[in-house]
Amino acid sequence: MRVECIGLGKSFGSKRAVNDLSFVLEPGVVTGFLGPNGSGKSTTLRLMLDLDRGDGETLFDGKPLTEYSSISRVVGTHLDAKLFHPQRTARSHLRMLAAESRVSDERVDEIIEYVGLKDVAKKRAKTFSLGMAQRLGLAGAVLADPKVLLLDEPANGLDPATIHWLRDFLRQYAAMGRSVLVSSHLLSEMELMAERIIVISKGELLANESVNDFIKRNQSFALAVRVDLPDSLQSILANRGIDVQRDGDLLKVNMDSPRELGNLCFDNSIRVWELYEERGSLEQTFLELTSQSEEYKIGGV
Amino acid sequence: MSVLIYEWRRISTLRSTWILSGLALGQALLILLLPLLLSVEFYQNTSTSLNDLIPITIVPIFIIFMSTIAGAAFGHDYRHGTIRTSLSLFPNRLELLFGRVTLVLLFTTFVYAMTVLALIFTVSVWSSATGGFDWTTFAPAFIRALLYMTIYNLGVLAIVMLTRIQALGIVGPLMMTLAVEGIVTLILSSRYPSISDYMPYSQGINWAIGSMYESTSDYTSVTSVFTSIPLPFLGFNVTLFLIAIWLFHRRDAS
Repeated sequence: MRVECIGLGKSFGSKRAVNDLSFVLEPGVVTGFLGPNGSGKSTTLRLMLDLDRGDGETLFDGKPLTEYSSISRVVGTHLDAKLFHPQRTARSHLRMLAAESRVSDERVDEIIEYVGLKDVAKKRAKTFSLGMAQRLGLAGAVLADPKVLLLDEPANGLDPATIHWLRDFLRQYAAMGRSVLVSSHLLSEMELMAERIIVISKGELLANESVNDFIKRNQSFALAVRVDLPDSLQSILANRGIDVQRDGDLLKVNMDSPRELGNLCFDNSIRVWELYEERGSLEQTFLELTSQSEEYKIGGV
Repeated sequence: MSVLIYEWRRISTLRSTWILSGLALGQALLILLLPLLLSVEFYQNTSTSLNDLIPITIVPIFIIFMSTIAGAAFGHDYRHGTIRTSLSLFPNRLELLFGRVTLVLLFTTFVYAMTVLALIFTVSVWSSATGGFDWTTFAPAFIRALLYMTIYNLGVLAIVMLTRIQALGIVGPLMMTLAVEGIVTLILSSRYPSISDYMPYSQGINWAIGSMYESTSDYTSVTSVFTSIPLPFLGFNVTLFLIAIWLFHRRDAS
């Protein structure tokens, strides 16, 4: 299912939390939703679901959510780890959610087992750890096998094995033609999980592209080379108008082709000890991109 | 229909719903049986009607238990943030609102009916002391207390929806009934002698226990129950509820 957000906007008093935000979620793709704290990610998710009243609209295959008869078969949501009544058992909570789309009790039990909560299914949710609460939230989101998943920080509090499970699960889920939007602060995890990313800051769109394009587009230096004569190579490259940055005997060079750089060194009798493509991480790129627009900056350490 | 199933599963899977219902029924029976258990001459050995039972067993305490269940309907959702879960499933807010209100009112009506049945059964079993049950005024008495509880609970639901604070929804109408309106009447009655006629909750409770109309109205008529509903009580709670619907539909779910 294709999800189209058109001109989403929301103000809290005089503060514009989300401003004219438009993007599309394509089926079959896990899309990461990134932004610094207070950038408007959660508000955007709530606007998409019409939980917050604001500007713009969100269309699910061209129709607003209210035009569908069974909502939880269209979109599954997990907006907070602790969105359940603490006195209710995990199974009762899921059975309650199942009522909307008339999901059977067998399916409820199947999902409980799938997320690994079978042993605590009849325990009150107040006894759950953060990780267990996240699993319960995920179970609720996928209970009716929705065509779209909107997940807000689903990996918070999960142990490494469960994060690994979540990553595989979401990729498989998307591979079945579903649209998945996941917001997260775990950027290294997002790099492995998402194919596309949407980056917002101060409620405005900064990027909406594939993870690889995002990293590449925001990366200044493509190659790193360690040589016996760094001074010579630096001046040769500078004379050719190529950006170069020196870090000891390591040079970071703004060139695309390692072969071309190797040949250049060979032609000038410079020995190459190390030559590799400098691949930036999503985290590094994200921090560079949002450093200027971060709203609630922490002090330096 | 699915919203009613959702609401039934929501209300029935909370332990507090059943504890409060049990306590409501239990306290009504306890009050009924107290004179018998303590061998106090209370029932005069004449037949006991619902008009006699409601003022002591239903109105004072039973209603508070039922209003707590009503207050929890939205109160729990706001307190635990689960209003977002509910509205994610039912983005048509009026559908959720009317489904929830309908189920809460049906459930409290069911508990009320069960309690009345238990009272009648007990009165009949102890007929030697209570004089047996008098059915002649059953229908108007039953309907009047039910209407009072329903209108009262609409006010409770409205206050919780407006303030998002469960406790205020439960305590607010109670304080109005027990203290606030009395104090206001005391202060203003010298200047506005008929002020007490406009105090919604005082009017409501007087009507529910029958003291207002006992001497003047035909007590055996169901029609008179509907025509005698005090307008300040009805108007105040219904207006509050309409404002709450409007606000619930307009504002953020948080």
